[in-house]
Amino acid sequence: MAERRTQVVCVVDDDESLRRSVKNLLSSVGFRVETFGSAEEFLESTHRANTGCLVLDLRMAGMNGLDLLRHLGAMGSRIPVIILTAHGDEEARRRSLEAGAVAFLGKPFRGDALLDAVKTAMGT
Amino acid sequence: MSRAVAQYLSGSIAFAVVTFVCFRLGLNLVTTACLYLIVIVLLSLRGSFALSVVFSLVGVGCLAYYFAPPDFSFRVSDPLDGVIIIVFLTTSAVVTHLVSRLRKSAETLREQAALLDLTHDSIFVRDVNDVITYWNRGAEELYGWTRNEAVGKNSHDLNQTVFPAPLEDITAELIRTGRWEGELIHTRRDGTKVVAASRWSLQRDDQGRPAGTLETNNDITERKRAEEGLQQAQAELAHVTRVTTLGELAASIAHEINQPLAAIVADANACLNWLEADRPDLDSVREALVAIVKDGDRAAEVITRIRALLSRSTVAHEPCDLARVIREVHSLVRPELRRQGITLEVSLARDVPAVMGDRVQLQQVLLNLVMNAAEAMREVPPQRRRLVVCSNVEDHDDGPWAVVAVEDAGIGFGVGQAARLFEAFYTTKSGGLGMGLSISRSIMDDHRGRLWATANPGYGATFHFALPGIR
Repeated sequence: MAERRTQVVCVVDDDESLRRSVKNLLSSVGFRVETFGSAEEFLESTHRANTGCLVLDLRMAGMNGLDLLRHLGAMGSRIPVIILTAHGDEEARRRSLEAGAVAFLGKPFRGDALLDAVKTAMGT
Repeated sequence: MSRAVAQYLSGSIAFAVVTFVCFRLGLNLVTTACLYLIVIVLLSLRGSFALSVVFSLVGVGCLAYYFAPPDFSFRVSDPLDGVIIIVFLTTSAVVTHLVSRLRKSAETLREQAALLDLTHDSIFVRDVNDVITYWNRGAEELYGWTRNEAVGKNSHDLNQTVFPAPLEDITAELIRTGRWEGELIHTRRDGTKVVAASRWSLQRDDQGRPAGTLETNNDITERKRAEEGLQQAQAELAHVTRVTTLGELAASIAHEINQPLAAIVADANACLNWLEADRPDLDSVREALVAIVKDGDRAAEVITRIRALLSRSTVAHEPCDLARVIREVHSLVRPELRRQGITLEVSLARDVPAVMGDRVQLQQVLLNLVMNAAEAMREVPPQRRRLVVCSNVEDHDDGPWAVVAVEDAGIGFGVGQAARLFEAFYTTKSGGLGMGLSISRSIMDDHRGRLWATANPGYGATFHFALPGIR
């Protein structure tokens, strides 16, 4: 399948299996995907500049997803962020959306729900 | 009194008859003396010592007067006759004395046997072939068999004894030490079971050879039933506490299951997409399917661990590897500790012996200690949130013991708290039941182990539990 964009979808999750599977799903419909094991790793990467969408786990060791979301907001980042979490309670959803997330999906998620959210975020 | 008179009367008649018969038949001195001795033995067996003495002297008088020349005179002319009369008197005295001793011994035995009948304990004696030779009233009441019915029967057959160990081993210990104690299960005459605390004492003959066994049994059926009820209640309480602890871990457990499930869903969707392409990417599909299987196993492992902790309320002691217990608890608490920003270090010594125990209960003790440690570090600075779980070996007189320590850098406990930590309903946690450490200590007691706490030199506390290794 042809690559959809030059921009990449960045996946930040400390669970290696999740990173790999989300990359598989997004790659299978043509997205370019880069994965990161921590928020710090993402912030240090060179892919920040061409990130079209950030798929972000909330609960991670070190800087957590919400901290990264707020940090990006404070930096004036316009990267659309999709929160993907296994702790999908209402409070987490409210705080994430308030901090600028464009979508909030609980794990386990429906495959098409994630794809729709990414497509919307990427404007495709 | 009338009995004594009757004895003297019957003795007199017996002597008169024997004297008359012997005199009429013209029996000689020796024969008559022998017949007198028989009469005296019979009188000794039935009457008093004085009666025997009196009739011995009467016998001497009769022998001298009627049977030793000169007749009808107490004078004895032949010295040989005098010797015979002296021998008669001596023999009569000895026989009287021996019979008297025999009667006293028999009387003592009867009194002792009567005393054994007074006790509520069931007591019986069996010979080397386990044939019952004595059966007291307590045994009659406990088992329902009368003395006459029990004596002569094989005790193990009669009581349908169930032994706690092979009978050969028990017998070997009895012969070696002269004693054995243990719990037996017997069946009464009416078919009901009785649990007996049994004490055996070996009787030996003059040559030191086993001659029989005195077996004393106390009925502890009710006590055992109460103990089993208590154990069941403790097991159920422990089960409830496990469920409560798992409730505290619910969010982390959900995370542990949702992670692989999410990966499975993503991979499966990716597979569908790859297969729908004009040129299906089968290599990627294959790789993703392998990953799906792996994630499925991962979720199943979590569920298996949870189910083990949730499902069982009965206790089963079996050989346990504490390293495995630590690893299983580690898997369970790792996400929760990570969520709380706690670093967990696990250090397992190599030569830790296996222990005999209930794996789920041992997991529960460790889980409880780890969760307490995490709670103790909730309010401390993030850099201090470090938890160490280590196993070690301690040498004791009865062999090596396995020791597990859970060390935290939390708020610790004060001197006043140390004594109360293991009390039921004592808690420093808001909303805590205060049963965790109390139940953990009960579990350790049940495992013949120990659970204790020490304050760390710096911050926090260390909780240790130790269990005897399997030898």
